[in-house]
Amino acid sequence: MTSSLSLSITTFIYGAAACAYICGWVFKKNFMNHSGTYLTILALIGNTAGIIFRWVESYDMGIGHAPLSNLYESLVFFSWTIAIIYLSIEFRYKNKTIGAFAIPLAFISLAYASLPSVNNNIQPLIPALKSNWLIAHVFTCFLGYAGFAVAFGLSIMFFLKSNEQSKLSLLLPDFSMIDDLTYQMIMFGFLFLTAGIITGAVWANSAWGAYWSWDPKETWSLITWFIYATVIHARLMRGWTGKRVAWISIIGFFAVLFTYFGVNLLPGLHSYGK
Amino acid sequence: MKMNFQKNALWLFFSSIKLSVFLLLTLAVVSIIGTVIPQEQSIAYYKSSFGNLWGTVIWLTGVSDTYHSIWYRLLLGLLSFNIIVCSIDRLKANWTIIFPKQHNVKPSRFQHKKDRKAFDVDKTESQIRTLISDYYSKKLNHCELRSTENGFYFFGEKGRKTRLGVYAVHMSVLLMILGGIIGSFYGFEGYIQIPEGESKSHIVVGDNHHIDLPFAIHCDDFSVSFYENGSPSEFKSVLSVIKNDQKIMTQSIIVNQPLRYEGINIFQSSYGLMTPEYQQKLPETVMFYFKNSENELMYPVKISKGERKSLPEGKGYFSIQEYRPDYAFGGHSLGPTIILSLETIKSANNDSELSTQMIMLPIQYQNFDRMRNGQFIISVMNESDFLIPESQKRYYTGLQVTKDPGVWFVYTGFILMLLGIPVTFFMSHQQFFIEVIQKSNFTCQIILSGITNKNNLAMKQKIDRMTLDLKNNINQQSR
Repeated sequence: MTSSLSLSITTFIYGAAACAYICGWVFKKNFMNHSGTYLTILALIGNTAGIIFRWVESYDMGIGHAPLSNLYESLVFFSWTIAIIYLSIEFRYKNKTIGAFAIPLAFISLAYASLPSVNNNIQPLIPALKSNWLIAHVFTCFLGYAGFAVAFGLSIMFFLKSNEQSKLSLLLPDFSMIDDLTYQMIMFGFLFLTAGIITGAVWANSAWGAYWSWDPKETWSLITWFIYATVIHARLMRGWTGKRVAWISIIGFFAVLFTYFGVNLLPGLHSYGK
Repeated sequence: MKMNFQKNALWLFFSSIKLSVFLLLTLAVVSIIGTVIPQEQSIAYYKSSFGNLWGTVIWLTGVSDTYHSIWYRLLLGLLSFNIIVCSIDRLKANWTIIFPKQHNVKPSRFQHKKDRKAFDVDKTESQIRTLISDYYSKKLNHCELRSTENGFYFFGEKGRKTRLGVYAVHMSVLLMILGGIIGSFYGFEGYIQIPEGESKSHIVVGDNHHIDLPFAIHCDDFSVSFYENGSPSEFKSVLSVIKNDQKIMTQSIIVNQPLRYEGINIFQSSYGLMTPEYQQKLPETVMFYFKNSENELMYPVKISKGERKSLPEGKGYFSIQEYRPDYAFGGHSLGPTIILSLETIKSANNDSELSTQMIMLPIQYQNFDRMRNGQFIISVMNESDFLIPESQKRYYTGLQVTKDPGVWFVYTGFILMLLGIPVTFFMSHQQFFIEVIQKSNFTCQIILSGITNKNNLAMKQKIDRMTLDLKNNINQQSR
């Protein structure tokens, strides 16, 4: 119970943080930006507490397992990874405008988790999920997804800035910084997506005897991998920057979303992610 | 001459990054097809769901098994070839950079850079010389300190070998593809069901193709445990490997813990009941619930086979006519069903005239009798007595049996890729150049610059930090 309560409160704090960052950007109010940072830190603490409480609660119920086993738990973890990646960027690059594009994603993820259609009961693990690979696989995959999510936010920012009529674009970081950060996030996401696919393959090989079965989620993760591999090659070898990278980053994120949610519409081995 | 040109054109084609980008995007797009169109179905299925024409097209083009079709393999083959040619091409060009016979420093490469950092210090040249040499020789490789006309320069570098990272990543992709090919030629993936206490030595691959194993698998025992909500928590088989009538080993397997023997892996995959779920005979007594459909009053009545008992409220009599362990009605299986004979009084005035009626009560569907719209809604209460007790149930275990000699290539590829990507992305070959020019007897100008093979922005920051670092060091020394 405590976990769902702390996560409900956290949802509102993320919402407030997102508003603060957006207001800070639109109205050029520095104190709004600062409160955005504090709210995000607070939300991250709440989010972490929620995950830990849920973990403990599952043990109290006698079906203890890491809270990474269904859609609800993955959404909670997704917003956690987005927040943690965003905060590390903020501390490193000292730019708070990015928060207006990243924290709303953390908020949406947690808000989606609280919809009644998403089952938030703590369920016992089905035999296939009882493995130490569960944590490694989900952790790496979602770090990857979150990296791509932040890259997506940055790409949206890039297009807003290219729209020169808008005065808001002046307040955004300069093109080269957005571009560089987008690419950094894509590399980060790519590394962890790769690690996620590999841990998944090793796990599948120990559970089902086949490291690759062309299950829709596997295939879509590979499609996502191909897309980001393309942008990395085009950039390193052909010097692609700016708009073209931003476009592929947006397309890539839609592939990520489809890998995450869309494949639930298709039959396959990952059906417990619904 | 003509031959040479052709070879070059082909080589250029395969070593082009355009081809890589094209192949990666094409693979991404065509991979979608296989997730949208159901795979490995019969031609009849495709014809019925996509129409005659499109169904045939799907079948003939191999879209029915996208990832094993000739054109998908051709794309992967082209990608492999592209990777090989590109790697050879670039490795040839970079070989002398990665493994130079001699480390020759070309000061002009650094001196022409625009973003050099320069500052003056009040020190003699010799003081700075020892400081820089002592400080940076420990941190950097291939250091070189050389006097110039009016001072000296210091060169150092690190991460030269990180240039190999990208080849490791590309090599890893090739290893994975190679592992996949080996697996598809020399491996298999099949399935067997073994009832408890029995053994089998062949498996079924695909629809009905049999493969003989070099040993027999005996299922000593199977058990399944459930969570409180009824979903399975764990299923476990105790298996023995039998070769030449001798028991080689016994091991219990669960879903994430397979048995591996002689390169063959045996996985717990499913289970099922050999015995039916319900009793073949009627239990001693059956408890019926009669619910008056008007006032909702409930009457439990116990009855055995052969008995004739009164209906509640004196409405007549009833008896069990028949028990069918699996009753089919109108083409649907209703499972275990009791046929009840109901004798109801026709009119309130005359209680000797009875009308007889047969009704069916499927055990699994408690509300079935509602549809009859009778005086009473009848249901069976003691459903659990109809189930076969756990101790008498006999299970079979469903095992996935695989062999894949390519898996070690794939795993080597995995490790190489996980090591290679961080090196390729986040490490670089960095070369630093510090030039010291004596301006007067007690003043020197120090100029820092750096060259890297990627991430120039990070290099710029690094030079800034080095400048600060150096200034601090020099100031400390003077104290």
